[in-house]
Amino acid sequence: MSCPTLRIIGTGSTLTKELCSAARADLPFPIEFEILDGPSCMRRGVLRPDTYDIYDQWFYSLDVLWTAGAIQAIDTGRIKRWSEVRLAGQMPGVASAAGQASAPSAQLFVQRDGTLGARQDGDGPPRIGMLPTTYNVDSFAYGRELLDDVAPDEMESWAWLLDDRWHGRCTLSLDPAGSAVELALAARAAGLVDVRDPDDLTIEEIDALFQVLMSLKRRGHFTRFWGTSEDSVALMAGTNAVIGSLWSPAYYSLRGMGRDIVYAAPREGYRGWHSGLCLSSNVEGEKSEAAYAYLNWWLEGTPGAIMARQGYYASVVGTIRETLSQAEWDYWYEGKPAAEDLPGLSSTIAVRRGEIREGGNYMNRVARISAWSTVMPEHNYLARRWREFLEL
Amino acid sequence: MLAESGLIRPADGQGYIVGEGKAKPLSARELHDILDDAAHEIDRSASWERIYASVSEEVTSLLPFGTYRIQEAELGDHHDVSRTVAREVLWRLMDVRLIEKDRKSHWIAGQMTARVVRDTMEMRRVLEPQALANVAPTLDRSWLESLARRIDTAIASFPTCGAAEIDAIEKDMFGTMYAGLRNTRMLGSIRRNQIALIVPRLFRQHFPVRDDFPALVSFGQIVRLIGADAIEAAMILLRTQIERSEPLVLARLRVLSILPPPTTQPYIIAVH
Repeated sequence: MSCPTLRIIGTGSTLTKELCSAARADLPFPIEFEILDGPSCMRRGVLRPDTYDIYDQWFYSLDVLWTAGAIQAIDTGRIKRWSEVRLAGQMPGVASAAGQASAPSAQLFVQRDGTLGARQDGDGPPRIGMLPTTYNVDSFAYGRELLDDVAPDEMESWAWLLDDRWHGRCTLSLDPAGSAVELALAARAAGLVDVRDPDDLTIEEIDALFQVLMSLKRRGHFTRFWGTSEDSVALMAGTNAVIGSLWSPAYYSLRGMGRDIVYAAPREGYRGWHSGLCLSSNVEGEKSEAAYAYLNWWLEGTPGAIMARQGYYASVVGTIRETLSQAEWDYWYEGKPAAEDLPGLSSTIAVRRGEIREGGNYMNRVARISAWSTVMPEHNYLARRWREFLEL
Repeated sequence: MLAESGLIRPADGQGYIVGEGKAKPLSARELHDILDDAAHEIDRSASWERIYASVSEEVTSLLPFGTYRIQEAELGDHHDVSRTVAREVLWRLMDVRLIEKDRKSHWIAGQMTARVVRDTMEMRRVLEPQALANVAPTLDRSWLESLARRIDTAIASFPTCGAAEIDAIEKDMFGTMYAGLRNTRMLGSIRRNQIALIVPRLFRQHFPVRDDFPALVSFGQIVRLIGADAIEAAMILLRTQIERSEPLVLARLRVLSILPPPTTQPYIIAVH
């Protein structure tokens, strides 16, 4: 009997060419990867659970998929390294925004009444909605030439995204779950909008924010927005964008291509995100065995190391430490100067000898998460305003 | 003319008397109630009512998906009524706060937000338990028993009972149940604040009914408590049920943000 093909949907953020190749090489069944942009992936995850077996996306979509009945609970009794799994910020000595309502940990566990909650509810191995895999802290990048316009004592700030000094050359992600939070941080830092919590904007804050954004867009402040990581690389590699929200893999790809850009450690803190894997509500029988094998594979050293080489952290650290070289571990996790040139993805050199990661070591960076990518309570309103903003 | 011909006689400024009987003096309150009811009776036969329910449904089902403008003349054309009748319908929709007029005097149906859900459900927690207590003595026992049986059947066959049956049970629990309220102002407030009931209804059109089971169990308990005259317990349970349903309504509203906006009627224009 032939093994069924495991169908996985996700974004290029985690389903990199290297990761897909490694999974196909390591696992004994056929795997079909389908890579989508963030909003399309979430829409597909919610509306068509019959078309995938595993959903690889950000934690903020968990609540939406779970409510829609598109996914099923994961039995941690079948996850070999479950006891080693740590979410972003859940490491000794890290005090950060991990306890916020929008933090991934707020909705990890399936409760006895079928809702999602922050704590295990009941005896035995807990059931979870999403298996935490990889995470990072994000900000924006800018061409080093911009520093010519910056005062020596001026600290990097999210406000730079809205700064007239770089009028017409700012780019953002098309996904409002990250971009709206970043723009709220930016507008607050620039003193343009009074925002209490960028992860939980009120109707008035959303309206005030979009009034500013629509005006900026009409004046041509933004260049094109990007949908995928590859798209962002193309944008920042050209001349149109000199500053913009950027994911870590895109940043290291651009560095590998020789573009002299800087990843900011904004004084207001980072936007955190956490990825994970969900099981489609349609997975059962033999497919379930393959799905759990894939889930377990993700917590091993190979995928973790692939993620580390594009700047991500992993929910199981022990296996990665064994897989990365000492120099890689020191740079990516310890925040030490690179002892040698370090490989990125696609055999490029991502980090040159002597370079230090922006923001410092793992603990320093994660402790500075001030907001999370999120589907906030007023997301329905925000999403419609966002669409209006994009269509302007 | 009737008075002039002697068929009716004036009754001290409170209308006319038919026949030989004496005038019964009415208090201002009694008079108001009579006239208010009479106005409703007249309204029910008005032409606006013929289209009111369908326009209300067409507008309500769009609320989670954005803000819309309603065009008065096109509404009339679409439903084959005069512009005056179309305007009457819109005024009545504004009266129940489904729509409002913006600064340019356009009719606007504003998007349902999480805040609207929270605010209206807070009002429901205050109003509906008291409404239940007020109406409970007048409720038909056989209707209550039949409702309880339907709920039991839905629970026993859950989830195959289907979305339509759950919709119908909710309509009975939160609509028919209060229909006999004497306090029409309270009834009006309740109706205005039940706007978020559209969220589970729309949700169930697109997604599995998995999370509706606990609500059905609560409904069954509430109906049985009313039948047993345990009204205070029923009030507490109803309040708790509304409170517990709020996070689910909010979560379902977030899910609806994924759906593309539905096709609108020709008299409705998406604003954003």
